[in-house]
Amino acid sequence: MLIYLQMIETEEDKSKFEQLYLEYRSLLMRLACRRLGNNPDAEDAVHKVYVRLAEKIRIIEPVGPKTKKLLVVMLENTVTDMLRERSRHPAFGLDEEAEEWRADAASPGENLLEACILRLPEKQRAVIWLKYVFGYSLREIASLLGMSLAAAQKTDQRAKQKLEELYLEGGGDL
Amino acid sequence: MIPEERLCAAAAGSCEAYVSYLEREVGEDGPWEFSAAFEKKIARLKRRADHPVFYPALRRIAAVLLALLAVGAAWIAMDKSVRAGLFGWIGEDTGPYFHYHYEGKITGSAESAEFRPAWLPEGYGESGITYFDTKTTVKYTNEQGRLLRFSYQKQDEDMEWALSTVGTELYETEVNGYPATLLHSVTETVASAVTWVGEGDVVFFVSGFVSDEELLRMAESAAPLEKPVICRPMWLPKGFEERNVTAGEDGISVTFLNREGAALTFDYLPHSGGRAAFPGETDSAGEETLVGDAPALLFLPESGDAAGSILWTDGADTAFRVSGCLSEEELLRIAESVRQVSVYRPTWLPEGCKPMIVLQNEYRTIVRFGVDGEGSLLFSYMPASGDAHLFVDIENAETRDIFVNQFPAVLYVPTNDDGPGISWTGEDEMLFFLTGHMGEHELLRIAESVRLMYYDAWEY
Repeated sequence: MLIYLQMIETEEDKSKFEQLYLEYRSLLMRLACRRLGNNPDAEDAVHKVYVRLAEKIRIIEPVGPKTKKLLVVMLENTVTDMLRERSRHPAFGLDEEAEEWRADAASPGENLLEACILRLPEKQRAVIWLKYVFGYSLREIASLLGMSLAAAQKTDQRAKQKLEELYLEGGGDL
Repeated sequence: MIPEERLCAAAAGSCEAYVSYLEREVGEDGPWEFSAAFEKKIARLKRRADHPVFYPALRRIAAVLLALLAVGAAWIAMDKSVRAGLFGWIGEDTGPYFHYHYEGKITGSAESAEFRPAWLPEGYGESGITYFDTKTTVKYTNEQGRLLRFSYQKQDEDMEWALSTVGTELYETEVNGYPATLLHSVTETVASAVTWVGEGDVVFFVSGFVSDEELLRMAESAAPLEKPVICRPMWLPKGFEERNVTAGEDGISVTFLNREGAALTFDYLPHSGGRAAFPGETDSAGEETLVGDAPALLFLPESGDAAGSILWTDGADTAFRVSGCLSEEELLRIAESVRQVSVYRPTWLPEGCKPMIVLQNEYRTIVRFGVDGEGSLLFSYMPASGDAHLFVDIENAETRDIFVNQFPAVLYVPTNDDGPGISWTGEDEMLFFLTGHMGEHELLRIAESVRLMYYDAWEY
């Protein structure tokens, strides 16, 4: 009975994946190409993101600004993992412009806490965003970012620690 | 702690800003031309998304098949990097570095294991251990101060190793059947090294200014440490506290003091081989008695001010002695209460912080740490089977769920002047509690450094 229930799908669910694919594939490809430098690798990265999306399609919201942000965060994380896997280049450093932008944005300004989040290492930042912007559980975050639950738990813990440190260093008050 | 509400708002703001920036950067060039292969893969994905039950089931079947193949297969020769990949650690020569990083699932294998080489080149002795998260380094030095290093790294997705290959030539070799890489030094100032992924999915690294043969022999002797024999009396006359432990050729000597300054010593020597373990005691005849079922010798002083002692050897060949200005009943009761124990200690402490006092019985162990004689940290642990209970005053504290390493834990943040506390259930179902007048991060760092001890010695 359980299996039958699970097999029932609405048309809306069925088409969600396709809509997300058609809507965001070009943006994701451009972003991936920018850091990876060639089409085949960029296609690999985009494919990996859609694999995770397909696996977790039920917890993904339909096309909208929020889902676009989620896909961009997932893609950035995937590209970093791919760069690290190959070890041809240092994982952080290729994307110098984005690093510079983040450093500028991270200068203490109007919103210190936002600046501190942008200064977090990429994996930690992604976990913070998926948890606090998209409201995912650590188990869901682990699936979406392709990491183990234990690693997601540890990254979450470290991210919050680091964030507090940065916040206090920047003159923030808890 | 940053309030959740502010964190949510800041996360939303920073995410919006970052994604907008990236979108502006890449611009809008119209639809992208995708390759046919890519479109094909996406079509398969769409089918998967449309049938979410079917595909996970297939994957489970594939996993079972893989397990069957692994069990049924004989040794299959394979490329080193592929084989390392199966373990989870990927080892690659990437120019000036030999680089390891972790891929795959963390299984927790060898999580509590400690490793040591059973053989060392002549003249070298252990000179220090450092723990850093999942990595441990044991240093050995000889009389000339030459350094020999044995390091191992357990599964960790966040950890990467980059070993400099400058001044070395790389050769493929084996360590106990595991493919290994020998970094043979061709420069006087660079040590040779050998590295491999071995037992328990652990990366090992041995380096030193010794011959390749010695390095490989040391590497091949690396093995998990056996749980050490550490013993303590579970009962002591009132007021006695453990004050220091020294280890020497004659075994381990534990000193207890009471407030009046009276001393009581407990010595033990594992693997005594039936020899007279404690010199001096054989000069005079002792009175025969029993400690449990083990024959023992009791030495009682003629005058009340002198120390008496009791000696015995247990079935596991560990020799014991208890001595002090105590009555016959007290000596016997202490002797009867001796048990083998697991000793846990933080391996990282704030600067100047040292253990001061240990209190132990069969239900719990309490260690007080301090700086310059002032107590600042309390560390306690108790086995799950014990009758002790941990009571934490949460009337005056907020509680928060955290993790200590990978174990769920509770952080107590007091609303009064008390220091924060952390409790967690860790290895062997042991319940740990830590509290001190310090920041939460510092306390958590101490908690994460708690390890099972493989030696028994400490001194304030």
